Amino acid sequence: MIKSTKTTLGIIGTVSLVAVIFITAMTQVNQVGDAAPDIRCLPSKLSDIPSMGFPIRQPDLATISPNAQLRAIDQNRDLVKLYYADFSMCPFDESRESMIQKGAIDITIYKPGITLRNSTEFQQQELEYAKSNPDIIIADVQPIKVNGYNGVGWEPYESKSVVRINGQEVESTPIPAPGVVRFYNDNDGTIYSITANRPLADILKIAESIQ
Amino acid sequence: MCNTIFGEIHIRYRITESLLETFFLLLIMEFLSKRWQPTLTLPLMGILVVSMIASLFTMAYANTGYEASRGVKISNVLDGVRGQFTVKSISLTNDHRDYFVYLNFDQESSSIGSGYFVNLQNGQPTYWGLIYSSIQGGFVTHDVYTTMPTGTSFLADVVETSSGSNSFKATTYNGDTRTFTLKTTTTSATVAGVVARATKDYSSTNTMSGFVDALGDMYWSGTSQVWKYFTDPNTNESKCYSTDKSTTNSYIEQELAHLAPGGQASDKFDRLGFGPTLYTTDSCTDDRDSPVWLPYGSS
Repeated sequence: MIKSTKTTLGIIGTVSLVAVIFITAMTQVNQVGDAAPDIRCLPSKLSDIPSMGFPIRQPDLATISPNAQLRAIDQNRDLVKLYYADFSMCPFDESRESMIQKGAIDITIYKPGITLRNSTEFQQQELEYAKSNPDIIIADVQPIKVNGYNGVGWEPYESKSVVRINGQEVESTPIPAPGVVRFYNDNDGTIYSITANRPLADILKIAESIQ
Repeated sequence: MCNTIFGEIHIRYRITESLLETFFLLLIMEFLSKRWQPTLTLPLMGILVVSMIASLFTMAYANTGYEASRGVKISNVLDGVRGQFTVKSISLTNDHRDYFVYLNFDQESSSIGSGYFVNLQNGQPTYWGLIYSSIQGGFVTHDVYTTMPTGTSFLADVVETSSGSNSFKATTYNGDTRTFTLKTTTTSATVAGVVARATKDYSSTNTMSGFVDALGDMYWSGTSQVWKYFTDPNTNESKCYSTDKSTTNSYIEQELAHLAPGGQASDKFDRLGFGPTLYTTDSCTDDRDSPVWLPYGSS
């Protein structure tokens, strides 16, 4: 009986110790040198940001990953960016490219700068842009449809960072570029741009779950 | 705050904190092992060691980087950015450096920038006018044109070519320009900023000094351009980002506006210096160290 009690207390002590160590380590992760880490973190709830004047629809988290959550919201004047991931983004101090390579999803929602008749016009403009700028666009831009809305998408591709002296390329470094789905919601007049380091088919599933 | 000296203190504090934590936990283990279950000492020690290593790793991970950037959020429609660069001599043995003002277009995850670039030509650091771009679905370009001597000051800007247009013109040293046509639905920018960056982190000397003044953002008022300093009250939020300011020789920025005669400590900034040695603090008025408004693309 006494031995059993000692064992139980020992286990409780061990668990408590692990908890203390874990909490301390996590606290350090959230403190990159300052005592007030919250200012380095973006809001992570839609209720914490001012209204954008258009609906902000979210994806089904299950299409992203079992532990995915809305981790950070960056809001500009006419645009909102939602970052989903299964890892913490607080503090928000890692490059966007790095976060996306690690599995984060960027969903950007905004009103276009011009009036669009419908998603078909949007799709045509996006395809035409890629076609008329072959010296700039190297992704294979394809027409897609998301819940009846037309748009475009492309697979992740190998991009590059180049240095050109008076137009002559003198240096080129390969860099990975994510896949993208862009579509226009005919009902509320917003553009959704979803960026992820995933096959186009997976990004489409995320896009189709946006309600 | 984020003075590098304070940064050092933070590290020391955190190491001290870890040592105190270790001491405290050892006391607990000692108590547990003697009082209840001696056989638990070994696994407890193992857990402690692993946790300490993990803790130190996260601290080291957070302290790496080589980029200094300022971005501002504007209340107006944002159609332009500019800055007066002064080229300072740097020590360079390999790689290159970028210094540019930029507009971000978050609608399509793209950036256009203008400033200067440093690389090695015949073993000597050479300073070029730079136009930078990172276009969604495309790639990152550093277009360099005309060389310049150190000490040169020049205005670099990126400006929407006409009100409501999706065309943006970047102009750098010697009047070299490049015009970009974005998607038809992108008719304004979302971020104005300035960045200095290196492809690698060099810790022993200042290899990234530079200076930019009169940082401004622009919007169209009817048919005319209206320029405002980053210090304008309509700049309702500014963010700085220094990828490593916890070590003495990190590559960082310093806000200089409030150092001017008559300046107030509460002023935001329109003058910045980059790099250690010359400038050793980043006196961010609003110290939101977020990469959200870094330019898209890479060095």
